[in-house]
Amino acid sequence: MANIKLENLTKRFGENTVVDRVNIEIPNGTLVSILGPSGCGKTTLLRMIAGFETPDEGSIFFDQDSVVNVPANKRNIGMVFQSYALFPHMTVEENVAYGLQQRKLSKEQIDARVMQVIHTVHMEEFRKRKPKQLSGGQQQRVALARALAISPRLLLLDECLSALDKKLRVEMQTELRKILEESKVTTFFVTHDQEEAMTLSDFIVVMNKGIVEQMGTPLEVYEKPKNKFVASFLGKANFFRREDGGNFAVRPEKIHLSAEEQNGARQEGIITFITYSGNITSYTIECKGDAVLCEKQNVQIRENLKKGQNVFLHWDKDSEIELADE
Amino acid sequence: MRKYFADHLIPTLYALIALAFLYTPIIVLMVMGFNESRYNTLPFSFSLKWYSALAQNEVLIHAAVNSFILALITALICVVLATMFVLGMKTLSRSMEGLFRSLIMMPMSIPWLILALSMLLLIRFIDMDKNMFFVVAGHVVISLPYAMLSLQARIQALDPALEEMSASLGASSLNTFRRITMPALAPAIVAGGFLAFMISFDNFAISYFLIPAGTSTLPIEIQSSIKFGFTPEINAISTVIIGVSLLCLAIVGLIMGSSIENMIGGKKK
Repeated sequence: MANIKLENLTKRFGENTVVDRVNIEIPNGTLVSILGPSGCGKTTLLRMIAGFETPDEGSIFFDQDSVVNVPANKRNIGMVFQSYALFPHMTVEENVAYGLQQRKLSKEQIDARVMQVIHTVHMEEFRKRKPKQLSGGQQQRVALARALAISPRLLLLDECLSALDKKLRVEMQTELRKILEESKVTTFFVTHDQEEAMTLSDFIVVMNKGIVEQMGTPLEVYEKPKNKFVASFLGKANFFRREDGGNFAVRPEKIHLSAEEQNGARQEGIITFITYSGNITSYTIECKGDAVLCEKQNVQIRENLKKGQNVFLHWDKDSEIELADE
Repeated sequence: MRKYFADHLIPTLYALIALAFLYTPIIVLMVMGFNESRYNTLPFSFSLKWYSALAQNEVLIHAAVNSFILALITALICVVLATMFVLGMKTLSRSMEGLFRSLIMMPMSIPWLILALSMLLLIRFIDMDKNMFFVVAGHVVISLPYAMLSLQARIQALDPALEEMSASLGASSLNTFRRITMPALAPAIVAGGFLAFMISFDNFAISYFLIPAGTSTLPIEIQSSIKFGFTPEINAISTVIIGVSLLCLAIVGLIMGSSIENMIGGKKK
């Protein structure tokens, strides 16, 4: 476990600056998601922390120690890849024991630790199996157990839930959160799935084109996104322009619709599209040529709004998110 | 009825003719090894006399032992070189890797006769006598591409994440090689070794051009006995060789088969 600090971390591949002066500091025991579209540099960032890529500039600190010149096998980092990378010729037990065998530990110490970690991920009955005899979710657990067994200073999870189907993924998210809270290990979680990032993390780092667009708690990043990219990558947003040229965004669920004009209506438009999806109904409203999205929680069944109808849009002044973009 | 004839009978017949074309000579050779007649002529009367004659024939046995040792040494050198090459090539850039691979694979597309001749000319040019070292070197040149084929297929299927994972778990590069890379490559090394062995054991041209006087290999011995009139002992030893080759092939198939299954198991479905 450690505080992790990235200072001005930069990586170039030829002409391309893949990671551009990234500064992140995360306290001991927190779970940080690095969120961004594919090609945003998040995997390269992770690989530099792991020691598989050498940064062109900048430093990485675990507590007070700079690790840029420490080889991958001396960094004491637990990793879980999207492909899991379980050793195919070893059983579950042997996979989990592998990292411990690289350290100077007695056979008894290794066996005890292996049993303990396998127990944590509920894989006791499968411990003699080879990876190919396991389902995707089970392989995932083994990969996690193997990474946790070495009591790493830092855990790196690279899109590790993406290969699972949706139902299993949601189950594993909850379980992962539980296991990580118990082991209190500082964790970097790379993902392109914003829902997953929101559910799992203490902090979210939003990356785009190699730079950090914003870092904050899920609440901060969702409620107060700094710019258009963050607002639209994390959740949905409607963008408006003020008369003075400034930009602001409003989240779809914060817009109220009414058929009759009331005081303080901010926009007026015509409903062009309605999507009912059980818990919510989404309305697309055309206002002065712009499509505005509005989502309503279906507390009661509401059928008073029809396609083609004229509606008025209201929102609180507080719901307007100021954006840095010009 | 007519449709049945066109759809089933003709293709079956066609396949049978093709197979007969492939296997008749081999079957005749094997059967005649068990025939009493000295001149491979009918009528057939079963006898093991050529096998017992073979057991007494020191020239043939000596040549076979020579061939076996030569093929074994060639195979060992080939698998060591091929393993080093495929591992080393991973560190090269894509274009350099392609160039390097073509250079190693080239002997596959150059006729062995030409290769043998060029090697002989080289030996003359540097003014040296023919010796077994040159024979081994020649055999390695022609067998190496086959060992490479087997290893390359395997290393391309190997997930590079496995080695990275091993490093992140604290393993030194030597330990990673010993415990992750080698076990993953082992089946391909064995299969590549068998392939190289068979290519070398079978080779006539290189051996014939480069071998020093007074030494011979089985292919050379068979060739010369044909020149001077041969007995069905040749049929007998050919049958033995076919048997051994089939056995090798079966072992390779078994190893490669199980290794492919292992690889699939290691990846996500």
